[in-house]
Amino acid sequence: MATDHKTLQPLEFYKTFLDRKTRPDGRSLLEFRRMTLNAGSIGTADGSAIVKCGNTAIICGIKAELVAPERDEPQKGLIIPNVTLPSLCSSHIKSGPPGETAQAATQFIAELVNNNIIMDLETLCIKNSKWSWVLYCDLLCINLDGSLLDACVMALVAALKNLSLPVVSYDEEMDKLISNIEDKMGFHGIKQPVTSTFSLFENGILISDPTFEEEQLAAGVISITMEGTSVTHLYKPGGCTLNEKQVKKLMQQSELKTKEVVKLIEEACSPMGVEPID
Amino acid sequence: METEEKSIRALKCEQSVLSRADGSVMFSQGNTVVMASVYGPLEAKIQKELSDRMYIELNYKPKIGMPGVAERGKEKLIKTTCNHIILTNLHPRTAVCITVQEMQDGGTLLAASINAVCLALLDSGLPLQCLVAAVTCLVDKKDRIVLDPCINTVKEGYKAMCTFAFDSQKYNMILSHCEGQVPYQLFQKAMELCQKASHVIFDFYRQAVLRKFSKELL
Repeated sequence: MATDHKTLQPLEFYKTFLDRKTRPDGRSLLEFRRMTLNAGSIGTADGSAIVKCGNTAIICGIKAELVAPERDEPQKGLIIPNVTLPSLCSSHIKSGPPGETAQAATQFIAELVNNNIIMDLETLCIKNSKWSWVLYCDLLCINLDGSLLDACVMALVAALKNLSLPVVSYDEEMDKLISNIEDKMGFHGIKQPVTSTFSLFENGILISDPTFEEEQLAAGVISITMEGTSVTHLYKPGGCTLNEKQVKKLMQQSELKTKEVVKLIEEACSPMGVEPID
Repeated sequence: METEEKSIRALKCEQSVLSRADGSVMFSQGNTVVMASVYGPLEAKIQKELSDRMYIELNYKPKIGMPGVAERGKEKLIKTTCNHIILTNLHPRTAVCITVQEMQDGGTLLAASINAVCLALLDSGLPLQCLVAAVTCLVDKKDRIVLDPCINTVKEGYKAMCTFAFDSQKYNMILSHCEGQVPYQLFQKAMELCQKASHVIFDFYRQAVLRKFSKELL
């Protein structure tokens, strides 16, 4: 009976839960899913992390190369993010060239990177207009169950914190790079932006950390990126409208999540190592 | 913290510029010129067909070259905005094809595209729930808010550039997109300023429609 109702009238089915201020998976409206984070899981990558938010799972691997910086920005290094949604991650994703969801997510992360929200790109430069690091950050989704951007940002930040590269210096007289493979270094000053996604329903009900099903049924999504207590990015692609009071409420919720995620990343990326924490 | 420019640049539009499209418009906001066309409701491709509502296909064409990842990001933003304003459930199992062609980049392309699409939809006569007006503002390095910046202001560098879209019923926010980082209070101020500026665009829509129909009656 319940499954029939769900298949025939998914929105009605869902609304009966919302009216009772609960959700089909047992969460309350503004509750987040359990998060797990493991840093440094891929031995052959320069930096890596696996993130699970509920059923959504993302792997991030970073490969570093040395290149000449771009001509119009000679003092900056590069971070090239790429979000891949293979067809195995969800039945809604078709194989073939990257679809709209993947490209929109890549663009979202690229905007965070280019506006120095994740880290100051100038720290990646070794010698002005000669050498700089380029970090290829590949984000692969293993299981897509909503709140893709939250997991992607978290995985990227954790992988960047986990990054270890050989110490390279530039010798001006010889005009070449000197490095010692055994000396490794990480980058300091990686910021900790945290993205929180919320779904909105027509009658003004807000839910946090939506699953894929909830995202499909909802009338709109909003992703708030915060760093500490300041808002860095408010991404709301269309959908049903929001008033200022609702925005304020969401800000408070994302502040709570930000605190939790920052703690989680710090614990997972601490030199003590790699234990998953909820 | 002071506001530099309080008004948006001159708006111009010409509706029904394409003879084959159901609705089309050439829209300019200062030096930014965008053309938009609407075809629909059409028969939907089988894999795109939705049983309960209309499928919206949106193509954003840049001035030079093929659309890339950045254009896909814009397409998604415009498409989801359209999804809210078009009464999609009146035409199940059909599709509407909207094309946005960038003609000249004078800054604030995203906002101009959304406004152009809204005018093209008005021209096509598709039933809409409400209208939408998008406004961009920029927070420069001295924390001043510049409303509807031109390309030179954008090139000088900025702390953040935010684009908002509001509906015509209660002037609530439909879309928000920002590049860069600002404290929340400044962000809120920018949003309020854009909200006020959106009234100018709604007035412009009204005039455009009035002009169009008075021409047709003659």
